[in-house]
Amino acid sequence: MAMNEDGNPLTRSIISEAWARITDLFGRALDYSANERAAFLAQLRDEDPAAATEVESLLSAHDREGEFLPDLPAPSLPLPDLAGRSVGAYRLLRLLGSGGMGTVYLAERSDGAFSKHVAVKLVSAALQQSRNRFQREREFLAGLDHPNITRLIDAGATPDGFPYLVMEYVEGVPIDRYCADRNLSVNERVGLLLQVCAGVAHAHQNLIIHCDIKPENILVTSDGMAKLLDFGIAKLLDPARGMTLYRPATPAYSSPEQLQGDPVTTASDVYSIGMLGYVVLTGGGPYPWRSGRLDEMVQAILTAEPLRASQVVGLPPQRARKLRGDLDNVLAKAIARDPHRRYASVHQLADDFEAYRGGFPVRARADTVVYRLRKTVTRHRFASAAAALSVVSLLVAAGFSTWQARMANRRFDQLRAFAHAVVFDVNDALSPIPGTTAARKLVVETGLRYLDGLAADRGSNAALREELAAAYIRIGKVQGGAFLPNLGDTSGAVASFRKALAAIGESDTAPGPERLRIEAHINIGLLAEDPIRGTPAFDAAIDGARRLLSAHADDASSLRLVADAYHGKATIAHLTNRVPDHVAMSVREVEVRERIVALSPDSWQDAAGLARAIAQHALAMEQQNDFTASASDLGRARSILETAIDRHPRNQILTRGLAEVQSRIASPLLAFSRTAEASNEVELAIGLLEPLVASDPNNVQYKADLAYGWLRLGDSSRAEGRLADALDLHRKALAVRRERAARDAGFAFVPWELTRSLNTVAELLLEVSPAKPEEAVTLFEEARNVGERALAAAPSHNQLRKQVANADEGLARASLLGHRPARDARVFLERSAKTWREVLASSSGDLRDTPRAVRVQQQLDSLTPPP
Amino acid sequence: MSEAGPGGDLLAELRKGGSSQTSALLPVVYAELRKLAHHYLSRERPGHTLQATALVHELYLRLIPQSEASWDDRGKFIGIAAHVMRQILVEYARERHRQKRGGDRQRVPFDENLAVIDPADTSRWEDLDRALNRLADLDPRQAQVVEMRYFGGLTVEETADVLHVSPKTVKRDWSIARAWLRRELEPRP
Repeated sequence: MAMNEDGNPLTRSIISEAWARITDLFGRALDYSANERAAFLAQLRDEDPAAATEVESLLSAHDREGEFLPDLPAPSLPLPDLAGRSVGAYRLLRLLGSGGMGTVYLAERSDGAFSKHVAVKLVSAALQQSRNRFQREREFLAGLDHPNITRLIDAGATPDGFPYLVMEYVEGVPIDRYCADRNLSVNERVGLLLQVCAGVAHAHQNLIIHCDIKPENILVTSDGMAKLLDFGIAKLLDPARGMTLYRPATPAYSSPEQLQGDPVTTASDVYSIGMLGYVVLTGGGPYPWRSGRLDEMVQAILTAEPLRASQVVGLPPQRARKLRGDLDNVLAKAIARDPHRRYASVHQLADDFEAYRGGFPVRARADTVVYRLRKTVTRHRFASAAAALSVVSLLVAAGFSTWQARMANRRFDQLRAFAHAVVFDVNDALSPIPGTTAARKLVVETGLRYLDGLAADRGSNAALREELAAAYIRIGKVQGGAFLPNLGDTSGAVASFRKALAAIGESDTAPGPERLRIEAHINIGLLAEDPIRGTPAFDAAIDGARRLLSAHADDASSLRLVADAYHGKATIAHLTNRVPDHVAMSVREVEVRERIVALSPDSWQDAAGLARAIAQHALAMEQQNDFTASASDLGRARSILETAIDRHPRNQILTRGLAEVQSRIASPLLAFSRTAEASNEVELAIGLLEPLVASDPNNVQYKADLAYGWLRLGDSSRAEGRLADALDLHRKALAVRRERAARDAGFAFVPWELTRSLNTVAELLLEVSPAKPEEAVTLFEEARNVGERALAAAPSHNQLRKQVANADEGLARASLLGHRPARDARVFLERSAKTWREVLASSSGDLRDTPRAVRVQQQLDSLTPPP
Repeated sequence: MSEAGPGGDLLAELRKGGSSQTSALLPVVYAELRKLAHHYLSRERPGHTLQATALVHELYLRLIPQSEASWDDRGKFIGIAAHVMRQILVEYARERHRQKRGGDRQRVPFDENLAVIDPADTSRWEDLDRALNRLADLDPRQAQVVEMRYFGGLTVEETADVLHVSPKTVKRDWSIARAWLRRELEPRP
């Protein structure tokens, strides 16, 4: 029955009645067997042909196969731990890990048929794509039988249709950790690589390309057996054409052809084994990732000159000597950019590893004199007489006439490569690792000395100046970069950022120098003692970045600068207490960060940036008393960070971000009186931060974060009425903040945080022992003094000003409690009221301020005798 | 979020009656479910999964004090929440559709929930919504059964309890509603 659009109630009721009859007929037809149904319909057709047609049409729709309703979205929640449950004949014992498409459990046969442990991999997302991948992995593994490949034991599907694989359980550690933990010799390491080659060669014989060879996918058991895991993205090789892989899984180990979406062949696995060889033998890689950003990584793999294995920075000299020569050549040949210049097969690569171990000549040879020249110069960086002699003899042999100029250039380049590697690669590799702040400073300073020296030699070299500026910015961030792991040296940081500006000069407006200039300005702006003074830097940064963007709208590095500048402006708006600006700037930052994440979805830095922007927006929402919005923002920030941490589990910057967001979630939860949940969140945050602080005692940012966590937990305890606990926690936070302020008062957040803690502890003291207000008075006075002093240098800092007002209000209360004359309290309250008037006059939109100002005024009125 | 213990009032409100379309609870359920959806639907963590219908149930556990609630209350509440879930998903689809067309550049900045709607499905959701409205004109209960079973994840028996009809009637309603919807949404070529 087609529904007409007639709204007439009479028509509608007739239609409803007719439909009720159809429903009844349909229901009866359903109950009949096929024969009965046919008879029923035939009879109906005689009586009421229209109804019969309708019922038949509905029955045929009813019998049609397939789901036609759209899939309900499957949102995500932590999946319950399935340990203890059974899957097929296996009982799951504990979760071993979860990855892109599945979770892996340790399991054993539940029927006791044999007691050996197995690994059960369950697909966890109900996505067809994952199921297909799963199915493929199952087929591949079923065809492979090799001691260096994890064996497939069984496979099946759970009653609700989720496929699972049962595999040999490998009790081992990733190959790189295994080598490092046991401090293996070069020969032992080569032996492990040979096992990897054997497993991969077996897969190749079965026309399977692994496509994702990396340390995490190769476990070594305690008896030294290497096992290749995870054939989840493996490809079946078409020997004629190779295969196209659309999405490389792990860019750092992916071959250039994989990254470019070109056909993948066995040579791609040769390449990945070569990259693995670098990690296993040197602990590093052939390409300096400047930032760990995907685009730069890909750029390096596609274009940069690979470092020889023996040149990887940080190698013990003894090992470097062993790698130099043959192993250098073997790995270089394995990772040649052109697949045709690599080993033709994994067998050939294995042969060379064998030859090395046996002391025989390897197939891979440095093939040019230029190469040998470069190698020699590298070896004798600081040319000694003997080195010079050997270089000269090489040059003469090669017949170069312009040897002198070339040699000089090479030395310069080598030194620069070294300095570059130190400042950028080592520093950047260290930065996400907990406990490395002080080490990073040393590293960057060492590199900087070389660069400084080189710059003095070659003052006119634009590229070098750029590099120098970038290095100064990095060291500045280590010294005192706002909100980064840093050493708490704000003035040193500002000096470094200024050096960066000096190095880059004003004249060169190419995108590279322009970006560095903007970055330096932003960093200086963030550290402005008087917040408002950062404004011109951020505005100039936005203008400059927009100019760069007008040429390339999707240039992620310029977009990052724009986002950073908006963040700076949002921070200023927050500190100066201008809420509408705070909202507007944080909204803009979020929008830009979302665009960046869309452009580089794999970058953890950008995920962290987005989360930070959203958390800033949450702060603005709280100033408007919109705790629902704040909770929702913080929830989103948290899930972004959790997703990133899933992929980068030990990344300290992500971990710190997550801890901050979790501490902050307490604030909306407390607003909703959900104190237990608030405490729980903060305790989780503290649990994340404590190990970071313990591992990196020089890092002031983490200590500040931990203090913040204590403060939040103290707020929860206070809300629950546990005043003694609250006091303890706030005192701990205060101690950290005092220590930081004693060393570095230049950063606008430092005096603010200190005064806030002083006031809170003093308030709690008054609550706990109102009869003894002496200590509270001292603390309120300290808050006042610190605040006043800092305000003199930072008059725009309204958050600080509010703390001064609070301190005066507290002094008034203490004075009344101490039975001092009302006159004293009046003086304090008048001062507080005046400060509040100043705050309200120069800020806008914080809905929490006016009631506080009014409260002070009311106290004052109650003390003032009527005229 | 109401600040202090709203559960008791909600339960009273719930028992006052009104159909799932007219209940006084609608605004609260709407706000809460949207928030919950916002929180969970936006998490796209691999390795974790939850059916959208579970949201409806979770919301019930959160809002209604379980010590006082009866089985009947639960059904009623979930009936309302299922109706709301339908509205929310259709809203997402509509918004997503609008974005896809790119006609209106001004968008809500934070609503990544939209990502849960497969862009290819936007018009299917809108069609389903319209078809359900037409079905409700024919037989409101049949449309409700679809909401409860499909959007609310209720079983046949639970649906029967809420609607005070026999499970057999729910089965029949569900079958004919699906057949009718299929004919509306998936016309034979």
